[in-house]
Amino acid sequence: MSRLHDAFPTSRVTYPRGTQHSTYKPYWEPYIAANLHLYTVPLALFLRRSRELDFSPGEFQRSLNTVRRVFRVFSPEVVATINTLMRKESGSKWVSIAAQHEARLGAFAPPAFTSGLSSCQDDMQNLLEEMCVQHIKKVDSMDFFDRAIARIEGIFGGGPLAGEEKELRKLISQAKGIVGFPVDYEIFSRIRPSSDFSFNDQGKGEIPDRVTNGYFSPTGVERIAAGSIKCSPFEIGYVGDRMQSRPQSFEIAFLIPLLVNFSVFLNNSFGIRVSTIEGIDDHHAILPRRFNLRFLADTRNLVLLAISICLTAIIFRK
Amino acid sequence: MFIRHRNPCARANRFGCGWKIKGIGAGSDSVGHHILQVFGYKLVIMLEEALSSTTYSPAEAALTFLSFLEVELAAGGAAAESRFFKLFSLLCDRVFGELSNGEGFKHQVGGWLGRHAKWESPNNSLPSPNRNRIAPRTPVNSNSLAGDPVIKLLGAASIIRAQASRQQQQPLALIEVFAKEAEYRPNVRYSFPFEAFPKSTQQAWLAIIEETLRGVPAAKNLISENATHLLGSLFRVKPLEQLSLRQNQQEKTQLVGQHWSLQLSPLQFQPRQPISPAATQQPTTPSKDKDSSPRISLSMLEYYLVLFLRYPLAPPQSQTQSGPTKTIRSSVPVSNLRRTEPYGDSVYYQLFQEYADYYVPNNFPRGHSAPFSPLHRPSELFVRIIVELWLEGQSSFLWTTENALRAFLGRSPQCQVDLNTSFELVKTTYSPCPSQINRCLHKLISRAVSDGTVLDQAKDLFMGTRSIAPEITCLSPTMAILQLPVYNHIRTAFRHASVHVVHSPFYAALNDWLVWLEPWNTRHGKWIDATFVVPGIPYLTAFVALKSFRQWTSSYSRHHGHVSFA
Repeated sequence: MSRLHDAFPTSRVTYPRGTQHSTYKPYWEPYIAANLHLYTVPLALFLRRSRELDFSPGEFQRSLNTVRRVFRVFSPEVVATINTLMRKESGSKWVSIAAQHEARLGAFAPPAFTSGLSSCQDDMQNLLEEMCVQHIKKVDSMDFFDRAIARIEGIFGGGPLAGEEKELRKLISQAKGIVGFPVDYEIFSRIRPSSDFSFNDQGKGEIPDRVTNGYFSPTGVERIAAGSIKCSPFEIGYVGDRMQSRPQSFEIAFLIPLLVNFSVFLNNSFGIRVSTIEGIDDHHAILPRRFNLRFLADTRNLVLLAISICLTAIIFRK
Repeated sequence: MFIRHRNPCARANRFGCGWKIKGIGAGSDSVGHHILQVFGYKLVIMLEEALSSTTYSPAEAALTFLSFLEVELAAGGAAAESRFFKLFSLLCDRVFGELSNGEGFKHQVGGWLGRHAKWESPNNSLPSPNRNRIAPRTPVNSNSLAGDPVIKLLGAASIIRAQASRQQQQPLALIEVFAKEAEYRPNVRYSFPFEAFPKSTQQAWLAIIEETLRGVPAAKNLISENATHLLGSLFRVKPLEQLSLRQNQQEKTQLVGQHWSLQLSPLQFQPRQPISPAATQQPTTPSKDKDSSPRISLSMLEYYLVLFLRYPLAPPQSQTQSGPTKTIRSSVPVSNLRRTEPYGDSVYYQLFQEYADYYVPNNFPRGHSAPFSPLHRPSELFVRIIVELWLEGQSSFLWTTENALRAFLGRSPQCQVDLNTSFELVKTTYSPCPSQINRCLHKLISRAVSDGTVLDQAKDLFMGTRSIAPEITCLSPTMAILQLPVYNHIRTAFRHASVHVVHSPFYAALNDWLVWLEPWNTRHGKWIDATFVVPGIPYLTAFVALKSFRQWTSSYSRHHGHVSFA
C-alpha cells in the first residue's frame, strides 16, 4: 500500500487542438514581456514559410490544423499585449522586463520593431491567398457525385463546401486580429462576401474569355497572364477518335478491345469506312451513325442497364 | 564521501539504501566486512566479464551492477571505490559502445543503446546472496520500459519517487553516485577526445584559454554565454588545467613557428595531485592514450553526461548506415512508440525523460510569493551540456543580428527593416538535429515551462505584490539558460527546415515553440505515476474496499458487540 504515495503533485503540459479557445489570463502579461521576441520573430518566420505548406486536397486539413494551432495562441488579448510592448508605449508596466529579455538575447536580439505585428500583413495575405486558392481549386475539381456528397456532409457541418469554408472564414477573422487587417478586408477583391469562393465567376456584360472555337480571346489571355482566371482540365476539348482512346477510370479495361473490335467488325460489315467521328462521312453508307459499342464497357452504363433489367423483370413478373 | 568506514552497515545507511545483510550487526564489523570483501570480489569479477563481453545480456549485467552498487559500494572502502572507477569505464563503453578514433568520433557497434531488439529481463539471475533485498525497487512489468534493469541502473526514477514521497532513506542510484563522486573526488578524471566536441565548443575552449593567459577578451562570436559558464566555471577541470589540450596547442604553435603565450606558464597551473591511490588510476583505455589528438579531462558525472548527451549525435555506424531512425512525435508516449523503433532508442528516451525530471526543478504552484528552486551544479551541468552539444553546437555559424542586418541592407538598401525582415536576419549553416534530439528537447522544454513557480511569479508581478526587480523575470533558471538557444533553434528550424516532410524538424520546432508560448496550458494537479496506474488499480480498489469493510465491521461491533458471518 505504500505505492499510494506515488500520487504526488506534479505538472503536465497539455496540447490543445487548433479549434479550442485560448485559456490565456491577463496575469500572464509579464511572462509575454519576458519572452517578447519568442512571440514575434518566430511568428513572422512561420507566416513566411507557412505558404509552402501543402494545401492540396489530401493534406488540406492537416496544414489547416497547423496554421490554426499557431493562430489560436495569438488571441486578441495576447496580440494587444505584444503590440503594446513592441511599440514601447509609455503606459506599459512591463517595458523593463522586455528590456531584460532583449539584454538576454544579446547579439541575437532583433532590431527595434515599432509597427507591431501589422508589419506581417504581406505574409499573412500570401498565406490566406494560398489557402483559399487551393480550396477553390479543390471545389472546382469536384464532379457531380463529390458535390452531392459534400452537400450532404455540409448538413452535418463538415465537408469541403460548408465545413472547410466555415473554418477558413474563422481563420481569416483570426488573421485580421493578429496582423490588423481592416474590418472590410477580403482576400480577393473579386470574391463576393457571401459567395462560395467561386474564382471563375464573371459578371454579365463582361467581355468573354473565350471565342466560339474554344480559344482564348485577347481579354482571356490577359486574364490568364494576370492570374485572375485559370484553365480547368475539363474545359479542354478531346482531339482524336474517342473509340480508340485509352481506357478511362470508369471503364472496364478488358472489355474495351473486345467491344472496339466488334464495333469495327460491324462498321466494316455495313460498309462504314470512315469512322473517326461519331457521324459518317461516307454518303453511300446505309446508316446515319457508326457502331460504337464501347459504352458497354462503362460501369455507369452497366449499372443503369442492370437496374433497368431488374426493374423490367420485376414489372413483367407481376 | 568515500572515506573508509569502520562499519559497513553504517556506510550502507549513509547511502540511504536502508539495507543490511543478515547476520551483520554492530558487534560483528570485521566479520561482516570480510564477507562483503569476498562477496564483492566475486561480484566484480562477474561484472568485469559481463561488461567486457558484447554478447552478455544487458539486463543481467545491469542487475549485477545494481548488486555491486547496493552491496559493495554502499559498504564503502577505498578498494570498492577503486573497483567502481574501473567498472565505470567498462560500463560507459558497454552502454554507449566504445568511441572510435575516426572521423566524427562515433560510437562503435556493441553498445546497449545501439541494440535493435529488446533484451530479456531475467527473473532469477540475481547473483546476490540476498536476492529479495536487492530485487528491483519497482514491480517488473515486461510491457513497460520502467521495469527494464538497464533503466533501473542508469535512470533516476527511484530518486524522483523517493523525493516526491519524502522518504528519509532514499535508494541508491548510479546517477547520484556519479554526482557525489565528482563532488568528493574532484581529482578522479576521465579523458575525453577534444575533437569529439562540436567545433564551436572547441573554439570556445581555446579562446577561453587564450583569454585567460593573455588577459585580452576574445571575440564575442567565439564564446557564447553558455560556453563561458560551462567550460569556464562548471566543469571541474578548468581550461588552464587541461594539460593535454595545452600541450597539443603548444606543439601546433611551435610547428607554425608562432610565439603563443600558452608556452609561458606550462607548469604553474598543474592540477593538484590525487589524494587517494584509487584516484591516481586514470581509467582510460591504452588505445586511447596512444592517440595523438588532445584529450579533455572530465569528472565522472561530466564524462557520463557528455557521453550520454552526445550519443544521438554520434550513434553507432551500423545504425546510421541503415538510415536514420524515423522521427517519432514527442507527444506520443513511449509505450505507444512504433514497433520499428530500435529498443535502444526507446531506452535512451526513457532515460532522458527520467534525467529531465530529476535535474530540471518543477514545483507545484503555491499561490504566493515563492522563489524559483535554485539550479544545483549537476542540474546546471545537464542543461548547459544540452545547450552546448544540441543547440549551439548545431548552429554554430549563426550570424548575429548586426551582421545579418548589414548584409541584408547591403543587398537591398531601400528595404525598411521591420518584423517582416526577420526571415532575412537568420543566417546560418543549417544541419538538422536527429529525431531523437528533437523529442528529447521537447521533453526538456515542456519540463521547464511547466514549472508552477512561473505561474506564481507572473501572478505576483501582475498583482503588484512583488516589485519589478532585475532578477524577477517570470523565468525559471532553466528557462533563462534555455531562452536564447531555444530562440535561435526555433528561428533556424523555421528558416531552413522542410515543411513538406511530416516529421521534419520544422514541426518539432513548432511544437517546442507552442509549448514555450503557452505556459497557461500546463495543468497542475495530483497525478498518479503512469508506471503505477495500470497495475495499481486493482490493489487500490481492493484497499478502498477493505478499508471501508473494516470501518463497517468496527462500527458494527461497537454497536452490536460482535460480527457474525454465519
